[in-house]
Amino acid sequence: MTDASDRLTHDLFNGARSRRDMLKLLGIAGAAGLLGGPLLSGRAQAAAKHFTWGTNADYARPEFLAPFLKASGIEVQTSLFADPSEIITKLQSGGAGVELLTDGSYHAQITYDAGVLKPIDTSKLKNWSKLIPGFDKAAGMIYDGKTYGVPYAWGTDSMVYNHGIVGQDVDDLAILFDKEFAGRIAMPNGLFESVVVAALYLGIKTPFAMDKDQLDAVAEVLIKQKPLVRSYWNDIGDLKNLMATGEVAVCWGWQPLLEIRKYDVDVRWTHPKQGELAWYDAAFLTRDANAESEAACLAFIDYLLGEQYGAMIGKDIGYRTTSTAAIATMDGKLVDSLDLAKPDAFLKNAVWWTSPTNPAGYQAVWDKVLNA
Amino acid sequence: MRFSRYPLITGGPWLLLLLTFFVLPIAGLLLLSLSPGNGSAAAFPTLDNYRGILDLASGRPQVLARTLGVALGVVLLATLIALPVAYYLAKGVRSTRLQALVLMLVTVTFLVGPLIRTVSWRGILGVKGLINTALTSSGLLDAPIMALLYGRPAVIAAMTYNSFPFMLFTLFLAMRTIDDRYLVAARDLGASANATFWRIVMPLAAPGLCVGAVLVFVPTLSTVLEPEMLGGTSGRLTTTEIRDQFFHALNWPLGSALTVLLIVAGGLAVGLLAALLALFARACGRVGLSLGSGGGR
Repeated sequence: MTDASDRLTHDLFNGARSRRDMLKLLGIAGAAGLLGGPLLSGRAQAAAKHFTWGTNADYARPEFLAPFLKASGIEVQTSLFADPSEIITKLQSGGAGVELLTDGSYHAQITYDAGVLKPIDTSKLKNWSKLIPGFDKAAGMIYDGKTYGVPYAWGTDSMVYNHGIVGQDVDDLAILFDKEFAGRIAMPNGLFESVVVAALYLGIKTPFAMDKDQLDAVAEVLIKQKPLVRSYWNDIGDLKNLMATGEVAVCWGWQPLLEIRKYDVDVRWTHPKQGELAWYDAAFLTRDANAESEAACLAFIDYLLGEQYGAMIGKDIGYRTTSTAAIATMDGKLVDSLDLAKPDAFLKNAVWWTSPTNPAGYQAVWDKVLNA
Repeated sequence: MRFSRYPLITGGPWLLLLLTFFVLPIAGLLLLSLSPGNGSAAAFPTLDNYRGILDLASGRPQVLARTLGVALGVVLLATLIALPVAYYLAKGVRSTRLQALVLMLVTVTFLVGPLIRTVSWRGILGVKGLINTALTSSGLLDAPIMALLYGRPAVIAAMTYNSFPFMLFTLFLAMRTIDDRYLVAARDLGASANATFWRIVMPLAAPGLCVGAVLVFVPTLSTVLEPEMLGGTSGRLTTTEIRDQFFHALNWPLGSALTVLLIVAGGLAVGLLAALLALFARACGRVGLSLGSGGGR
């Protein structure tokens, strides 16, 4: 890769690029994508007729997968999870039967260390060139010089609140720790996310590389918060339920939560002054993939980076695609609503979420909080 | 003395099954529990995982005690609910068809699966659930009771609901096999209905009570559904931590050590429960209780 793309990789994950830079890069990559060939390559003809994708329920909605089946004849079977570790445990013990796995910036290092991944030959991906520049060299995707993951969606996790109950606009994480909302707060259970959120609240500059003192401080604040928390949610469906039924007024949540607006629940996304967590999800080949299923998986990864999938997840669940080809097909209003034309502004206060440097230490803190 | 191979031939396959599906997995679990956990620099074999679990500062001994306490509480509640129902059904209802119908109705609700049965409690106990809606719309309360859901009471209620048929069926069967002539004789000799129940029925139904208690206790001890769906922040039990260590933290050695300790603690608790029930039956009837020979008859 060139120095320019190296610089972009750095910029992408430091939120330092300008809108003009971003648009320029989107344009270049889009043009490259248009020259990149058809949606699916001939390789799909030699691929297995089905494979299993370990992912979360939102990514694998039947309507998102149907165009791929129609175009390729390959059926995507799914093994759904709330936390990628669930699949990793099965892959480690053998016989999981999951050939393609969704994991992300927040967890990829842990998955790689578990030894369950296979490198991806990106030269076989027709749509590789359609990636928004920078994502092709994103941290957490490349190990020992080989690419293991292909990012296909990105966004932020942040604080969400029910305006009808809270009654005011909010941009301060302090509300998650406020006694006024005792019993109406929800925090995430998985991926050490609550630990990282508490670190943001405490103003810790290195939330993914905390030392013992910082971890102790985080444990203390989370244990103090615990009596105020209604529930530690396990998956996004669980959280949607909590917010839609009015059990919870404010939470740390994920983008698909905003879907409950269609039930007239006035939930609002925030950009907290202390920061939010930017992430990307990627497709990883697992060691369960054989030559045939690997070909089918690569065809599907091409589909994830193509025109249709990214547009659909943007429209239906509010996730941002990494595909310039998909962005080019999207309605201007949708592009604006997802801040895809000016991601730098959207990511102004965001920190890129990476695997913690000391997962055992983070887990110990979270166990301590749950056991308290 | 002639050695017979017959028991070996007939028992061999069962022993093999037991060895393959019980002894070997438990041995594997034990070995894994002695491996160093995530972030540990110790070498195999190590007791670090057990030390970490038994350290009071980790909160795990308290969670283990809570887990056993919740399971025992569920046994107690299931017994209190099932006992009068089983007694009335076994001795008060004369129609066998009606008995079968009632038991079938109890069974039918269990065809929907534990997930639906558990989640449905949210519709009953939630802020907008049946109870809160009834209380607020009738003007009895101004605001819903938040504490109904996402706490230990909700977990215990759901666990009791999910397990009480085991107690009901075993108690019903135990009571149904009690010869009615014992009860008639007791009344003829001047015993009140109360005395007949406590001094005749209970001691004779004690084996059923004991089996029911174990059938309720063991699954309750190992369930993760109710604490996860209804427990809120106080839903942490040893079983949920075992799940977390295996499936979230990927710390199999620690998860194995927790499992071994739960098996040991659960086994001890089952023994204690059986001993307490035997004492209870003895105190009730003063006729003694022999679990191995049909319950003191």
